[in-house]
Amino acid sequence: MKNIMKFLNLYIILGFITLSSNAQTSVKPLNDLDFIDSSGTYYKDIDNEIDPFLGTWLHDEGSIQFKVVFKKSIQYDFRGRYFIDLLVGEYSYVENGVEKINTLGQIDTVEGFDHAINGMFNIKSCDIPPSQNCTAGQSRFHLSIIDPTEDRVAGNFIIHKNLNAPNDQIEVFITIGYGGSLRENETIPTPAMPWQKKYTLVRQ
Amino acid sequence: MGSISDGNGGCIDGGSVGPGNNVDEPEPLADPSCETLKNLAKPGETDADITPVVKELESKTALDKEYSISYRKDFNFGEEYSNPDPRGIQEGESLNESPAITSGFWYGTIHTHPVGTYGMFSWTDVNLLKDTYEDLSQDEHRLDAFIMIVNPNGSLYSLKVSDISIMKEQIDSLLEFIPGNNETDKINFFNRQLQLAYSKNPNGLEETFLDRFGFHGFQLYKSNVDNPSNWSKLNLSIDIFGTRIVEETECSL
Repeated sequence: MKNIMKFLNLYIILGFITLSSNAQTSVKPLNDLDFIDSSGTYYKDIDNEIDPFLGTWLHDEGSIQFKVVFKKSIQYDFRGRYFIDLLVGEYSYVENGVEKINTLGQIDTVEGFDHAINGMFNIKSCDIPPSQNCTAGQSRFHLSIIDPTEDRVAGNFIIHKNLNAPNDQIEVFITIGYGGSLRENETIPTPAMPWQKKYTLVRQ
Repeated sequence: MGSISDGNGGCIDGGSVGPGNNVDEPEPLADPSCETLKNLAKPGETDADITPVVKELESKTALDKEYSISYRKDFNFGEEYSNPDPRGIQEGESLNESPAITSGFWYGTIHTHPVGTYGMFSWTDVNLLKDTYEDLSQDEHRLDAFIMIVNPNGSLYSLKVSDISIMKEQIDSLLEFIPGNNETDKINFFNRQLQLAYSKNPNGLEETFLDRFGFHGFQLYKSNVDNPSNWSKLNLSIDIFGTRIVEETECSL
């Protein structure tokens, strides 16, 4: 009888803890991210729209090989303020046989926004180029890409699936920038990748 | 997106509609920013004379790069000149970016928003206005600081600083909360959220922008390439049915 009472007490305590934590954590869709949120909200990939992009992908046009490995960062804790699911990745970029960037070794050693490719805004619109092979309403993630060779630049990495391709393909559009603002006599930085280019990557 | 108090009970980053703003016929507006914008189109020898430049920039909006030109103050025998960059219009690096010179006597930049981009300001543009204003070496030129965009449909928009301390505080406090490797990366993060908002209301870009930036220490103005001396100030108001509308107040000077 004593053991049964102990078990019941434990069960009640566990139940209370579960109820309390559920009451404190609200779950919202990724696009609802509030930058200044510090309430512990979980911004979740509710419909698992990140998942079709996971895995290893390769663009090969002869003179350029661009390889990306994607994984999902689940419930990443951003400075104790909120939790968020992210599409994260690392990449290598080879031009004319010269490896200009390779961050692939970081895929399991860094977390969340520290990945070279990261983000979660899913803008389901083909308004922003390239609009070819884009179907209105499909998932189109707008991510960040870092060039580790040049700390003044950062890029936009827009990704969507080509739903009409015979094999599993993703279309990627990358634009690199430095913020546009140059002080007098300051020179434009030199990123390792082209300032603007469209890539088609095939699942490996 | 949540709200940050402006210290007066107002909502800074959203819901910029003031409950007391009724939509009556707005009176023409005499404000110093209007005057400096109108001056940009003056054709005199000492003036910026932007009319032919904005027409040329409009012709480049179909290309797959941004194009830009910066303006600076020059001085000769006590006379002040408003001159474009002597190198002329510059081709940018991508659809999203072109060079803008700040510091010294550089007081403003006009750039295109090409086909395939949203015809409204980005966070990058807002930050550029702050840099332009703050980096000017002479306080007396700060009233002239401006950022302008030229759209494929011939519309022109300009941003002018109305309160640099609020603007700086808003941008700096938000950047604190943003993930990112450097300032460009953080601003890009803001841009994505703004693009998301624009994509949900592509025919209401002015409304979306004003809703986000109503009390951020800068003001939005509108004109067109055919008559860039004719500017209106845009604000978000609320009509008697409680519907938000963009109110245009013509610059009178």
